[in-house]
Amino acid sequence: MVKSGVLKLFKQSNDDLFVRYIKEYKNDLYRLAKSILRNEADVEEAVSETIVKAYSNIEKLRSFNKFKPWIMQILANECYRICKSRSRITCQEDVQDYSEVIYDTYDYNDGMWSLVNCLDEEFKAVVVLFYYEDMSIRNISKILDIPPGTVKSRLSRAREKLKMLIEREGGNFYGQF
Amino acid sequence: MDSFDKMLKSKAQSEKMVTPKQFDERVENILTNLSKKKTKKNSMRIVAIVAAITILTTVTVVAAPSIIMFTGDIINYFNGSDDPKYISDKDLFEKYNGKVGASVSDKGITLTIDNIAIDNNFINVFYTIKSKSIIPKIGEDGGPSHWSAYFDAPLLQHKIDGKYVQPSNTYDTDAYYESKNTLKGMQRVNISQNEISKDFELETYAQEIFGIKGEWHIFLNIDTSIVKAKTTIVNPKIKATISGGKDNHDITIEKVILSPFGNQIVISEKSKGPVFNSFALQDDKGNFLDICPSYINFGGPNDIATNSFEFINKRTDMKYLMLTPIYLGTNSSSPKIISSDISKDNIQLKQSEVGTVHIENIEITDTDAIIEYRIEGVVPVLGGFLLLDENEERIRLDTYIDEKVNRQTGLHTIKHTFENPTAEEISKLKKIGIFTVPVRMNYDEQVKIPLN
Repeated sequence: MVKSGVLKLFKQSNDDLFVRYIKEYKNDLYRLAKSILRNEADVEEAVSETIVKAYSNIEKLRSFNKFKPWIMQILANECYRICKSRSRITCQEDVQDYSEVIYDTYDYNDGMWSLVNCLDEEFKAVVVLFYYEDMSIRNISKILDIPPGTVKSRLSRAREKLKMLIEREGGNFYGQF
Repeated sequence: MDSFDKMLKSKAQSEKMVTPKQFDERVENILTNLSKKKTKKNSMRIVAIVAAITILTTVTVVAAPSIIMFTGDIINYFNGSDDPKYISDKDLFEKYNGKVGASVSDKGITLTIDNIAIDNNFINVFYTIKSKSIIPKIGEDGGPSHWSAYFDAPLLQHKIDGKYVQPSNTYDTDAYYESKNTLKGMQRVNISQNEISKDFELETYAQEIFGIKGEWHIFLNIDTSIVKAKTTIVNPKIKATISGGKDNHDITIEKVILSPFGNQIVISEKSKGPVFNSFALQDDKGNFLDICPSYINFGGPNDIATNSFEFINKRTDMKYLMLTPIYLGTNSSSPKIISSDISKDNIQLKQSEVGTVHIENIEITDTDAIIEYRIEGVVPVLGGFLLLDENEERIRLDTYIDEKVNRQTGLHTIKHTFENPTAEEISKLKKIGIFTVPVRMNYDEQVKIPLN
């Protein structure tokens, strides 16, 4: 009887935590998926699949303290799976749709995201995880399944490009009245 | 990590994002139906895993508690590195520190806390990590070695009397390799947002070092009763509304602490997007106080975002602080870059109507450029200097930027480390500059903070 009560409490508590964390990180998941995938439907698909897979495997997560990097890793895998399943030829129509969706759905404020979109594809996810998610090189390496050295070198090159883009704007990126 | 990275992080993390309605509905729908997808078998496995974790925890190697007294001691950390970030605070750290020497080992890695220096703003933990095998460095070869050490240094976490010390925005780390198997580090833990007593238990721990998962916990009973550091702590709890962008900021000035290792003002605000972090501070004689750049904690949705802002001030007799909100702007009519010949003495770069950078010394070698400067007035953004040729064209020599500040004198140092520069590139370097950033002071919403 006691065991059953503890079990119920534990499961309920984990479910609540899971839902709370997903709601809290929903936008972060969306942004990471968007940095890897080209169209909106794929982003939705990747995030949805990630939530289901994470929930089914929640027992593998030893501590909710690690929830964010853990689910980000599942999402990155899911995004790459979708990438591989798509045709290697990217239709121009898809790219156009993607651009329209971005402008319709994002509130840019001062436009860091618009700068991220100017980066080459290989840099975007690294930049999102480092600057938006404040993750360590080590965690980014695990999430994207690439060596830490590659993370560091991509970050370094992306950083240079961001600097260049900001300078091109004459430092206006720093804020607005 | 330099100001540019900090600025980008701050910018990125303050960006409000709206996801498509269709996306939100799909996520909501999945979450509503989640419990139907879970099987009973999975639930039982959760319990099994919990039991396993409990057992693992009980066999973890944990160092015995130690009691340390603060009598002052030599901190060896500063003897092994050419250029430690906090070298200018060495004497103060030694005055208010205790020798510890407590170690814990797991997975062939030994963590030793060598010294701890404490005041009411910061706990500075000096440690040594020895690995039985060669430390696998993260990242590429090349670049300053302390950058690799910085990346490899583990995040030490802390509990005070069992309560987790949330890593906050003025945390800092410095580290260097003593050998292929040994890393020495310093972690500056901001405790301005915590209440601590004269006697407390400090638990310092890591759960991953050099990419290896393990459990390293060191418990120390800290007795600070003999420390005679002159400290001012006020909890003004002043509420103010600051105009800004789409939303006003309803802030609370929670605390001001003036202590030997630094001075901090703690400001909280309910998180609803960008967090208030642009302001100037003046003392009771109208002198502007230099605010050190730091990360900004934006908090989770509906959380209270609390940030500590460190400022440099040598006076301990201030009657009050004056906080003035500022707005950073774009002004197409002003020059984008302001520069000066590097050969000149006493270079002054006016960043805005209210702030100037005074360069006191420039040292350029074939590997780096070291610039020492002071701030006059309000200089809210300075992500390094621009190295220019005689036509004010940028020479892209700098790959790594290190910053430090002498908190005793207010002298800042920025070091641009070059990567594979040619002699021709170095010879072209004739000017130094910064971006101008228009600043508007919002005197109408000034807040006076009494310090007595």
